[in-house]
Amino acid sequence: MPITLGISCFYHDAAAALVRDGEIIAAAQEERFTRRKYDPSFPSNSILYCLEEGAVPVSKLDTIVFYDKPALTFDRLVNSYLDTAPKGLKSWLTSMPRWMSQKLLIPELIRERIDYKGPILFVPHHLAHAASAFYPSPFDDAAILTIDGVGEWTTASYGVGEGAEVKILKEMHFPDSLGLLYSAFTYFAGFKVNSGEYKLMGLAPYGEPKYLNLIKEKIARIRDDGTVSLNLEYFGFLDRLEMTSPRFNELFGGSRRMPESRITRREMDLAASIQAFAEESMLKMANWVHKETGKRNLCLSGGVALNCVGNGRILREGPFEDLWIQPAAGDAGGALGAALAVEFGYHGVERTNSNGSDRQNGSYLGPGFSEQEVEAFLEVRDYPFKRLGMDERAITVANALAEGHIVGFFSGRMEYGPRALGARSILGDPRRDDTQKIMNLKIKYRESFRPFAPAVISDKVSVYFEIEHRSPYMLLVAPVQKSRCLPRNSIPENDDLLPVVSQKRSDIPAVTHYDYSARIQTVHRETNPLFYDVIKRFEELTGYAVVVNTSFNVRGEPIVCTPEDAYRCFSRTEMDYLYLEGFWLDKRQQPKLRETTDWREEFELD
Amino acid sequence: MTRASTVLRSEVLRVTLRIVYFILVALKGLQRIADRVRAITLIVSLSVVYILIITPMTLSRRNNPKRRLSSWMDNSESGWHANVQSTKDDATFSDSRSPSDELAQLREGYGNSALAVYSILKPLRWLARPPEEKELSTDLYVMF
Repeated sequence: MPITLGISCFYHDAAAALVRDGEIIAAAQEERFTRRKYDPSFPSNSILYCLEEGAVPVSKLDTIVFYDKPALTFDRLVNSYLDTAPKGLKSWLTSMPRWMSQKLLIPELIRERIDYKGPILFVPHHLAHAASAFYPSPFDDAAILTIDGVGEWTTASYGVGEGAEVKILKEMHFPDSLGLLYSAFTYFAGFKVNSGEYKLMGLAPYGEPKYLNLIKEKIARIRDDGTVSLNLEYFGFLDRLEMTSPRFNELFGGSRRMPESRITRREMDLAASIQAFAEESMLKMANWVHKETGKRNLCLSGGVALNCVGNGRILREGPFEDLWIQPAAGDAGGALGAALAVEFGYHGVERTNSNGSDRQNGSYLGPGFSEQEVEAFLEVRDYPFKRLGMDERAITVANALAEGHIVGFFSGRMEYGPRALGARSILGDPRRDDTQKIMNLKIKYRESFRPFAPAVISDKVSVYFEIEHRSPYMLLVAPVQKSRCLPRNSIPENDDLLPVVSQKRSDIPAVTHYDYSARIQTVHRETNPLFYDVIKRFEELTGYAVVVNTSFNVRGEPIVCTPEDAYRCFSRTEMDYLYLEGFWLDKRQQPKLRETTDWREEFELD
Repeated sequence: MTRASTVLRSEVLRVTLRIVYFILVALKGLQRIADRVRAITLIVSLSVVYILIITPMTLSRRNNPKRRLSSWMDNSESGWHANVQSTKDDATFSDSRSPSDELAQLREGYGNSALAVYSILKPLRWLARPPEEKELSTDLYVMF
């Protein structure tokens, strides 16, 4: 019964995952413990948690595996500098100290930090992504497609998964990268690279793809096989400390939008254009992979697989019968993929038949807290609370939602991956016109245009949305049923999005995006029974089997991990109630928040 | 007599504490200076390597058709490239050998430049420190 610890760190969103005999025991991102969003540092806290959860001492680990081959990445870096010198000195001076002190010394660092003496392995970056997509999937046989910014020399890859084997067949090479192209536009639109991509995706429906032809003509081409080719004259990431070059600015009529400044028509149209480009590339890649592999099912991973609009199009318009996407599709998921690759490949663990359901356990793989622990926390702090009996829980939450209140919902083990799936969520009523505005501006403190996702009971999904597929990880976008949609106004001349956002576009306006789409989470009793029951009760009260589900955090803050994090976030925002693992807290009864500094400055805006 | 010795003892203690405090402050100052010297030495060394070694290497291979980073209209490097890697193949999982062993095994496009650069940088390793927290929040990860 081999035990493997997977680690990803030093690039973006560090994480650790523990796998025993092929079964995922625990997985968590470091940011949840350090409270620094996308924390890339060595995941000491995540490792400690994983080992505790599995009751595994370090000495019992059979293998530790890192999700990347640093030597290959170093090779890519050196060759990039050898292509751009004498330009690139500033970038060289910034990157090399990291490599000399950290990234080329990973085995030494691991041994030193956790006192480990066993073997340390390295898995190619995209093979780790591919393994994270295939092994937990419900398929015994599938094609695999991974697309991200860059990992070593690779920016996308495809292959097959058969039984316990994952095999990469072909890959696309740096600097040609769909992920980097999307990130460059994210940067130019004034959002943060590596975290703002989903904002750009959310902004796209407000614009028109006016720049699509210009992009294809000057910046990037898409081949029939879906691969892209970048014109490096428009990018700065090779020799500057910027994603785009001055030529990029010239092409789009001026410099990038400054973060937090007003979003104009240009950003909306750029977002729509690059989103259309990305969807076309993703769809063509899927078609190509289907043609090359002949498989009926597709597994997706890599940061670009978080583009749920593109995923939705692959499902609806692509050649595959079924699709499964790793919920931690970005770098954090590499820790899990690397561990699974070693378990099934290196250690030869047999992969048993899945009987149709996936092996990700709803992605509830992080820390959980017992009712005793929560009660002790509340009593020590003297916070007023009400204990709820088992049969009171769902109805209490559902009642509050039906009355239009916003509820913080903390239940069970924390999610692994960027989405809150009903373990660390903020819930609201999707029928109300003002829910999106209130949640964005008074609770999340984020941009008003950003849409919220619906969590819908699995067997009722097609009642509200034009989809029948499972989407338990909120990674598919589908249209709202036409019969539910209402006419909408166009965006005013002054580009003010607020009146447009506030406009009722369907009978579930809080989860209906400007283009009548929704990023859907189907909720299943077998993975989260309480959350399922809450929505079921809400349906009994209102006739709607849908609630608004957004992550339990404010802008720039990692999703809450502990009851203390949850209470802090609850008390700082205008949430009305907090459900905390069997306990019910009413905001009106809570002591007034006493903080000497403005907590909004605690988190760097993402 | 007793009072005099008490006064003397407290005076000795006061002077000792002052000396210790002074030494600690001086050590901290020296450490800060040493750290500054280390950081400057590192920057100067890396700049010298970049200007005197990397740049000439770049110029000498600028016209090499086997450059890894192809130009925009060069179709030979774009598209899908075969690179079969399987989880059933133990060679896929490299173990924790030294970086130079790993680098020595890399594909040789036009000479193993990465190994050469690594060999040059290795003696400077003691000058480098992991990045501080604020540095890690940078937008640009591609080249880092």
